[in-house]
Amino acid sequence: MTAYIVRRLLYALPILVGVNLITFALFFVVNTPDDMARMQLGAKRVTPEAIEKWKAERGYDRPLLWNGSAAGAGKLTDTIFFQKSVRLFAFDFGNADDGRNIRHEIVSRMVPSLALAIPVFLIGIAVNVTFAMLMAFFRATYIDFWGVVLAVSMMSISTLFYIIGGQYLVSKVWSLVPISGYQPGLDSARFVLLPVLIGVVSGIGGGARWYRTVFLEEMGRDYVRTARAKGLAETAVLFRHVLKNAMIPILTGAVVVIPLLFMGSLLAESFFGIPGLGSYTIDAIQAQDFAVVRSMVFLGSFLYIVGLVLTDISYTLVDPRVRFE
Amino acid sequence: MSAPLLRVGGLSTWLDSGEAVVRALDDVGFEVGRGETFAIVGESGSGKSMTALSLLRLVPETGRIVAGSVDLDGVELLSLPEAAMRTVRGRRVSIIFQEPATSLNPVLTVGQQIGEVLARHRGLRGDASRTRAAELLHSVGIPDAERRLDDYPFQFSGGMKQRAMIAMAIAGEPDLLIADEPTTALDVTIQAQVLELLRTLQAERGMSMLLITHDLGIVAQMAHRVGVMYAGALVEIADRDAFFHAPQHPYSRKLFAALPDRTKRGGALAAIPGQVPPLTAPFPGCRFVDRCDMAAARCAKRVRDGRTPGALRCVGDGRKRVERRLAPAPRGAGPARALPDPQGRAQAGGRPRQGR
Repeated sequence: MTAYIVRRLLYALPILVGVNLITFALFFVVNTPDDMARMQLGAKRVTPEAIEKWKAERGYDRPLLWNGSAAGAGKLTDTIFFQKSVRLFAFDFGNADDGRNIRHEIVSRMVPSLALAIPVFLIGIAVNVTFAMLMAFFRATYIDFWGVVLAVSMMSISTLFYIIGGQYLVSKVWSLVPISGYQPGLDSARFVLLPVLIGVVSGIGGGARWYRTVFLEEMGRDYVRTARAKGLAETAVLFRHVLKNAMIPILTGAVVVIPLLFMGSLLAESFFGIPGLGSYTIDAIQAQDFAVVRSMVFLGSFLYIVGLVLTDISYTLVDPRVRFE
Repeated sequence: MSAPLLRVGGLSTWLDSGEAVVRALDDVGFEVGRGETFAIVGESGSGKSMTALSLLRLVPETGRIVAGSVDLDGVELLSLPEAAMRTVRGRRVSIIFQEPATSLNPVLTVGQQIGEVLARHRGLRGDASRTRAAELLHSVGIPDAERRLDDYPFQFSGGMKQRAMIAMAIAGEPDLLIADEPTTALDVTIQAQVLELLRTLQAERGMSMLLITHDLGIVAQMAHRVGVMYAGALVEIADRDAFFHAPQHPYSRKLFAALPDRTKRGGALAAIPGQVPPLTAPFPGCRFVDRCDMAAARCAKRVRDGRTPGALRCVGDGRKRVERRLAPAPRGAGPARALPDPQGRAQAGGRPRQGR
């Protein structure tokens, strides 16, 4: 199993290199350091000297790929490509525009992000599976029909509406929890409660509808008829036979997003003032802090690739037909 | 003869397919005696499998049983509450399906799937259940049964999967075993083994068997009595020997005419002209009338002769002509034509072997 995982991770390496090259091209070739400087300093009355100074402060004054004026290995390493892109592989993200170390920021902001994302993920799956099984159990009845109607309407409402509506109702009208903010430690529960609730509710529509389709597809299979022909009760058929098979696509579909939980939620974190990685990214985009945005893009793709590897591994755990080979 | 184990009468099952209602089963009736094998033959879509599913009240969700009676040993199954019906399924009547590959749950071990029946109907759990499951697997001819209990269905070959299905079906020690095309998905050598196994198990346990097939060779080898289905109805019910010597219904006759044999080598096989009529409207008369070359005027109006419940007998010229043609053939001279036999043995006469 270890050998399999190692090999899978090695396969992932070329993908990561590709992501890195594309990021490099987007951030330094399409959008040159001069453009970045102009955007940061303001388009009006910017002098060439100011641009050069801005670039030199951040190390963007080097050549892109090949530094002819440096000595020895410096010809390769003393370039933007090496300093800004290759170093990402070592998770050396450099400093943000405000001078803080990006890696340090990421590590400290991961905790609030996870405090929000993990409950949303786990409770979300439990709620969606329960709702979907209810609809599947009462398939082709009014419960199923109105369940689907409810799911589709919930799907059609924007997450923003849930956030703002939830804040208005729960925090402002009922004054149950703070409207936004965050405090570390146990106190965080008070602040995370509402965002978790809203995260789960906004996911029900799409999730439950999809899981219902998975359940119904499994319920049409021959082995379900066999189970009924054995004299098993419908609940036994559903929980023992259908659930176990339906969990294969559901679990493996969910596993791929687990690593991305670290990235936090862009919307919820900004609206609730939670100092996680999601709000970090949004703030960096607004402040046009390219170093941070680049780091987050790279981190996101890295975690996505980890998610794909985890998916492959999870298949072998839940489906006896798939084995490491 | 004592009362039959299963008595089916007037069974009609309809399927809703969008706009139209398909009369998948129309007034089907037959009996299965104790220890007897009754075979239902027919082409695809004639209602064979729907008959089996209707007996167990497992028709698809689009279908419903609209009329009829299924009397199992004095108990009317169609009026039982669902909970009581579940004590019949798997315990008194069990079924083997056509596709062993998809009919077994892929993520439960074979032992778990057999154990489920033992727990449900025999009250066996834990070690007792495991021991019994191993015995059952052994009795259907799976070597090293104890170890194979922990295998998943995908680790079994096609023939072994069907053996595992059979082990599951007999785990509840049913009185009636329905075998719905049990060998259609298997290759010929495995077919013969599985049929042999079914026959042995039936004789050992004194089970009745409802065998559904489209293979006349299997009928000749296995059945005591035969019912021929066409377009949702039983058109003929007969003892096996009588059926092979003198099929009564023109449709049955045409089935035999379509069989390949040595004398027809090189020539075209006889086909029945036309198509099976749509099942969306009721039939006032014989449903084979459009394709029958012996049809008389009254065939379009009247079908029943009243002697065999549930079977729609031919009333046209066909029956007389068939009898006249076959009359001179001396009995005991063997069937007039060679029948395909999965085991390559001669098919002449005789009841299927009982016991051993």
